[in-house]
Amino acid sequence: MSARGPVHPARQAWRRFRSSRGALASLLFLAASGLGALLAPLLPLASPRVLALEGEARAPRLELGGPRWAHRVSIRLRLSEPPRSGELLARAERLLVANVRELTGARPRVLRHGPGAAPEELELALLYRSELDPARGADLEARFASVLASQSGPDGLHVPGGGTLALARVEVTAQDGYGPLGALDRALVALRHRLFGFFQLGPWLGTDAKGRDLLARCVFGSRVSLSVALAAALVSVLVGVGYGALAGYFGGRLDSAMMRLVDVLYSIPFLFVVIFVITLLGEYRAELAQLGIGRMTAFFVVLGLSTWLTMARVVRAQVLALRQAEFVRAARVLGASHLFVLRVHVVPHLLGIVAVYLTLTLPAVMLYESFLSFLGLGVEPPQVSWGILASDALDALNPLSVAWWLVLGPALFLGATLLALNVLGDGLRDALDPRLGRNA
Amino acid sequence: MTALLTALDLAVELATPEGRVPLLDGVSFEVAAGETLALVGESGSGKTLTALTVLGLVPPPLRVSAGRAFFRERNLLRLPGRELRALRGRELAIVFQDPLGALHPLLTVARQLTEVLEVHERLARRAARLRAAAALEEVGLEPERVLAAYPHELSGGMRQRVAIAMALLLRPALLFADEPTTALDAHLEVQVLELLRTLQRRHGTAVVLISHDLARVAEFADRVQVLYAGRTQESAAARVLFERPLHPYTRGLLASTPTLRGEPRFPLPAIPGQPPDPLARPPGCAFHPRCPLASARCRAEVPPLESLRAPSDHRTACFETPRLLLERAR
Amino acid sequence: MTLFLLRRAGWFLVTLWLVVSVSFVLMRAVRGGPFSSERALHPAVEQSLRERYHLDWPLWKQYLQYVGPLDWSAQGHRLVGGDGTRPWGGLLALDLGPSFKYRDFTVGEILAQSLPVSAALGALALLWALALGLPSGILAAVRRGTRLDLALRLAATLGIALPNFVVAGLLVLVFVFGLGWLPPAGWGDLAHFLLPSFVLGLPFAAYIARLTRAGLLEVLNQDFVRTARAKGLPPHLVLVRHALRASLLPVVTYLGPATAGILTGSLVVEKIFAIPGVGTHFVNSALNRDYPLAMGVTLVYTVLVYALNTLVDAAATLLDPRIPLEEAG
Repeated sequence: MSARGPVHPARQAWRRFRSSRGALASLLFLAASGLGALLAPLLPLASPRVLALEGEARAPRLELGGPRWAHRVSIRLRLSEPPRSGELLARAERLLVANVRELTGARPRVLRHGPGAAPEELELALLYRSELDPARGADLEARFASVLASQSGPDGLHVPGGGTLALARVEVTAQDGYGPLGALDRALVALRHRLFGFFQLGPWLGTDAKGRDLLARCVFGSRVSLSVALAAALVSVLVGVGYGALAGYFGGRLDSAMMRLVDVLYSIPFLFVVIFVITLLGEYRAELAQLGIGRMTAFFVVLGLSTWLTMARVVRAQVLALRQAEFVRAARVLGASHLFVLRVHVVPHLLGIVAVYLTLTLPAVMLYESFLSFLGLGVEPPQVSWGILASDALDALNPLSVAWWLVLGPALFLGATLLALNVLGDGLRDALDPRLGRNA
Repeated sequence: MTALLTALDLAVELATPEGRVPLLDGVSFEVAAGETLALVGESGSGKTLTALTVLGLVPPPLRVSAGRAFFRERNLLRLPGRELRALRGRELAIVFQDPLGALHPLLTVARQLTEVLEVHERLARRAARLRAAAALEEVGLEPERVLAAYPHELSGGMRQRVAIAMALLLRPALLFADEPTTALDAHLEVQVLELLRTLQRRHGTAVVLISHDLARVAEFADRVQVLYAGRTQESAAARVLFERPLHPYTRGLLASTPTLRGEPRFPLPAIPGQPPDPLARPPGCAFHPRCPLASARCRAEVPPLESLRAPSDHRTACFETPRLLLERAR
Repeated sequence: MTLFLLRRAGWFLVTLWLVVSVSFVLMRAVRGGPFSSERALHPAVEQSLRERYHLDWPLWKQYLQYVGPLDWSAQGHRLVGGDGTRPWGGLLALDLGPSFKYRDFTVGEILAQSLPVSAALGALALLWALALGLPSGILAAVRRGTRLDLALRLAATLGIALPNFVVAGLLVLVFVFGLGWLPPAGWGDLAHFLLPSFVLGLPFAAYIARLTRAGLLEVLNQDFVRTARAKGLPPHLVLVRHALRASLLPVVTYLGPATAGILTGSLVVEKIFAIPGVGTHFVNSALNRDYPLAMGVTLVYTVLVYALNTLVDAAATLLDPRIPLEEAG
């Protein structure tokens, strides 16, 4: 006999899991990309929505980018003649900043455009706010112009401390880089503004035919893809565990009837049914929306409902085995209720196997989501998901312009995530149940 | 008497992250034509591994690290794969412990027998089938019924007879029988051993009988070699070993088996403790933790295997041998 | 064997009936219907369309007509006023009804055109799956622990993880636009089929490789393989006749689900490569609310999958004499 004492099964499993470097790396990668998706508005990415109207897709460029972030209100001032000195320009800028601050309550950033020492244009840039957007009826331009007029003479703006700056034209433009945002996302955008200003990364993954940055679209697409997958997998787990536990725990005729149904459902090609149901649900979009069920909600519920079969089978087998276990019998004999036994004795023993199958359900559901989005039946624009991006990329492929980067970007994101999920799932399964691992 | 097979200093080891672990450590033996040698020991003592080493069937990650095994003047451990394969099945055969596991579950008995003939004798299938039928008849089975059957359709005893027929199909010079009766009921055990002995005498086959049952083996073997923890502890002619065992381990084994002679003892005394884990083999004599005679020397040094005196070939590996001999003389 | 097949057929009918009824109710219960979405359809035209497809009938009557025990046409059952020459029709007569979108065609005609295309694609994909999966699984098992094994296992995980449209995109880039070896899309000769079937078969090849490797590794450690070697059989016989035969059962069993997966996957692959198969029609029918066509495809594929699964289970019992048929049923 060895001198080593018995090791707790959970600790043993963790030891086995840790020894699989691939699984550990996958876990870290997934955690990082999950965090990245959650905090996407915080990252110094280009806007995933704003169209540059360049008319064609552009290949990736490995540049750091500059203050180009397209989620801002810009007050642009054209200088009719170069400022007489840098010192004068600096004082004029302080005045302008004070004016904007007075009007909007926020301190703008000053950007000089034009050749180094002699800028031709000044930009006073603010973080985008809809109440400042001229397209939404804000009269910022007029108000700012009138303030400037009150401070100007015939030879230009009077700068405090002496001197004038000749201004030709004032213009306000605004670009909404995100569309409607929730509270958390608004806070994240504000934080990003504070951290990075108007700095953004260059088009590292290229841009699409509408000039949208692919890296930004992939990262924002991950929010949709990951959240749909997570929600659908949860639905699948809830249904699968509930169904399997019920069948396994009560056993007998109920069990065989329920498992027969699972067998029957197994022999239906599910993607077809899912597509069918999603199309039908499309007809009831308005009613579902009234009930507070968005298209996305309906989508992941349908996805979840179509992937619970394996989970149900596995859980049932496990529960069936547990039911025969001594400690469960003992609890029943001592008068514990079914509910109590399920909650205290059965469910905790299921956690491991459920965790394993959850990680294996996730990639399956993600695959479904990307399939459906790819076919134009899933997530709808302006939402982006990896499936949509891949579909767009293949549509854009033609012999005249081979925009390979459009294919590569989503492939990288989707491929890496699915690979990590698969490796993690395999690793978990091997760690928790070495016997299962050998079969697959 | 020239030996048919001479195995010298066989060693097998397992490479682990912590280092190399010896599983078989310097085992030597000889078998003469027509003779029966019994290798005896508890499970894990290395007796099956000895047979696998000679046949070149040691499964990875185990590795044969040293030794020679001369069969008809050729070292089996250095033989090219093709030549070794030509010997396996034809001159050297083996019957495994568990006949259900050892027979292919998805092939008929006929196929499993005839392929041996097809490979070694290049017989056509029809001729091979006739030979196979004859071989089955020789082990007391109805050929027609058994040939068409799958192993799972046969009883345990029948399966082991099939395995024996398969091993003896080409009249090998040497047969390893690896606990051929362990998986069988007690009443079948004697039948199968008798069958082996009959066939052995008829064909002059040498047999290496591997067993954990020293008493049973004593009836069938000419010589017995006792293994413990991968080393030979004692070897002698069967009668000598059975009547005058020297090594404390052999004595323990004999004491713990029901004897055919003498007073029945209940309960049977067992050797205290467990055979050692190969990964944590005790230093010195591997048997010392369980040995009633163990001294400080036993805990520190490995006792060499030494002959008692010529012309007897009684050999034993124990520091206490002189004392034990004295005791016996008194 | 007969009993097994009968029982299978019984359960199959239950499954089919369930699919038909549920999807029929869903499909007809939908408000609006297929024609309301079309722009500027004259009310009179819409009315005549509704009449033509019997959408003005009560639901039960439509159901019976579709499934087919009673046929309300002029040749229908006497009970409902026909002349009795064709007392039943619908699904019972393998009539899947008319397509709403392609108004000159019945669903049956559309399927008759597209099913051979998809079947050819699927068969070729299955061939790829076996031709790639088995050898690489065997190779990985025989060379286990080596770099080759590691590379093959990684490739298998990649093959399982990557969606086929991603693989398709990458391969199109390389072979069509990069090297120019293969035509971009469409359908006609074998060259058109090569890339789509490869893409379709790849994940299943990966899975088969895994199953083969795992099965072979388990079998290689078993006593009967040691027996085969002890008999002096040459290595290839030991591997093929003894080890492989015993480890192929999971692979054979997997062919059923694999076929279902290939049918599903062909939806996407057909769209990528513009192949006029069932998948393309199905996606279009879903987008166009052509419910009879969508349902027809679903039904035909359910039948196919079920039949193939039964076939595979029967094959498994032939392969392994230890499995009793009754248990498999």
